[in-house]
Amino acid sequence: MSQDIPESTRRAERSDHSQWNWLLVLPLFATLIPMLYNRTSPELFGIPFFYWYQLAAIAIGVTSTLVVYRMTRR
Amino acid sequence: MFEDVNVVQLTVFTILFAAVSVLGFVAARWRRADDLEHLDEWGLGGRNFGSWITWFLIGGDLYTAYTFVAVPALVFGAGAIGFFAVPYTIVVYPIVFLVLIRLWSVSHVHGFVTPADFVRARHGSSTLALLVAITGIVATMPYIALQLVGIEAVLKAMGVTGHVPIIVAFAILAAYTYNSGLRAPALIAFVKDALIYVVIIVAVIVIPYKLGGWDAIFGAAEAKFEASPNPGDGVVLAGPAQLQYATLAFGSALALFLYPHSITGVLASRDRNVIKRNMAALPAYSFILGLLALLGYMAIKAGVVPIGFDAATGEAGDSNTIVPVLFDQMFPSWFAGVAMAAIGIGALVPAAIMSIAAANLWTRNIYVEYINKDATPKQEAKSSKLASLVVKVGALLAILALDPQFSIDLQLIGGIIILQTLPAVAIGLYTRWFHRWGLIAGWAAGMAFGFWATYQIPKVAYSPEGEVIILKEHFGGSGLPLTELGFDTTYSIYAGFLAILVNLVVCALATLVFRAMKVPDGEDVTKSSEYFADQDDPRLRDMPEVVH
Repeated sequence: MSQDIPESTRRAERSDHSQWNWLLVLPLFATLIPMLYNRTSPELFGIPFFYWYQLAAIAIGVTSTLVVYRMTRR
Repeated sequence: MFEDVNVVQLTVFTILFAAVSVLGFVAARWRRADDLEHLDEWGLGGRNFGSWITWFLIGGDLYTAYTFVAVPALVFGAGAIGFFAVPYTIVVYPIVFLVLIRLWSVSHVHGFVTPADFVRARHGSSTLALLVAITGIVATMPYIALQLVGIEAVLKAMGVTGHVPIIVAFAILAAYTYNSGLRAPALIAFVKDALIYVVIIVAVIVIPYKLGGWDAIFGAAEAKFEASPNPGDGVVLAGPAQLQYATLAFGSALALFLYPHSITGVLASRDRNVIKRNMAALPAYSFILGLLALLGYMAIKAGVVPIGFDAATGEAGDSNTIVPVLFDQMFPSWFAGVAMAAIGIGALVPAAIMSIAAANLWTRNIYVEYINKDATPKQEAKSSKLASLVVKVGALLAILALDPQFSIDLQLIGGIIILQTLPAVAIGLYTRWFHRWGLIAGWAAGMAFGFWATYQIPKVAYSPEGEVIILKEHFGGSGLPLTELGFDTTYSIYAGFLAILVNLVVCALATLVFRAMKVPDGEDVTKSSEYFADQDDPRLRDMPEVVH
């Protein structure tokens, strides 16, 4: 184990590898499968689900990129 | 030229337009450089923009005036499919997050100004670099022309017709871009984006209130699409349209940061963190774009008629005018003027950056590569400044002398052809597995497929009886019916998505063939550590030398 640490530290110094990067895939699943949200109900303030869901999904995108940025900052 | 002009609107519009023009010229002194006669200064604003400037600049660059009029127009005409702009601009940032910081790093170490510069160094092929440069220029030109369509839509709604106002607007734009380079759109972007945010936020509060709420708005839209004979429209996606929706959003997202003007905005930023922060902050514009798309439904409820529509002759009119007309109907004149100016100024920022990006491609990858190999930095800057003028004149002629439809068709293909540079640029940032001639073969195959596919797609309308009327035989859209490929289905798919798949398969197969034939691969002058370099890194020189 102790030998792994210097190796992984060295790797972190010269690469962008991080487990957190996998979070970037989340927004793709949330938005690129229209079957998930292609319907009108439930409505929100009279706006069909299709629209308010996708507007809300912007927050998923922002959160993912923000978390990856904060967690991989050096 | 000035019949039925709304004087108040036009006055407000003109004042704001004049104010940003002054800003454009003053920008040359902003964050003043010792010497503007260098491509890093004129073409990339000194490579030193921080998070805020970059946010305004890239936001102003990607969300163009044409987007602002065309997306709601699509929603107005077809409904849900037009909302693809939202998933498209959600997924783009997570997709490019890791890619762009690599591009930034290697470009900073080597002083690359264009994506083709990178391709040249990475794959050791001037032919491939030339193809990437030409692809970039061809994809960008019609996009610039379409910004004029955006301005024209606004002018029409204010009652101003004729070509003179557009020529004047573009001449001013050309002059301050020549003078100030990337600093001009960067400074103007602050005004443009502030105006857009104010206008859209006011619009989505005031207009639904006036129209009786969102219920009434979506009710009117549903009624319109139910009455319409087109099976493809509606407030949700028709079943078979889902595949096209997803592939269009995904394909467009892959294409966006391959456009030279997007890369210009990225390379102008100061360090890697500026880019990362912006990947999280830029979706604010996506939210505004989503709200803007809904203006298409508000226009339906408000009974907006596109300018030029004539029920008697069957003339459809200019659907790009629906948002300006909606503003005209819903807002007091002075605020409608502000709203029109927001769109009009919205055309200037991307038009400037696009012309700079196209000019840099010309200078770095054609002029320096083939015409003047020993060009000094000053000659490079001069060449780009002149090229930016030529590009704008070309765009102006494309709109005035040719049918604007030509530019719209070209821009449609533009997204598909720029996507064909993905293996050389984006995948090239990660691996050199592809052979340089394999990349060229893949590019050619993807281009050929893209043209063939869009050529097959007609533009159709439906008679009240539900019969299909073909308005245009070819280049009528980007959704390729899968029946064209021999599938027995009603599904369509984004042509660009298939084109890049064709490209990748050919790239891989051709690579294997060229390797087997022992055709020499190009030399890679980049080192793997350079893809992680940051601003305070010793590897990074302050004023990078030009690497050829």
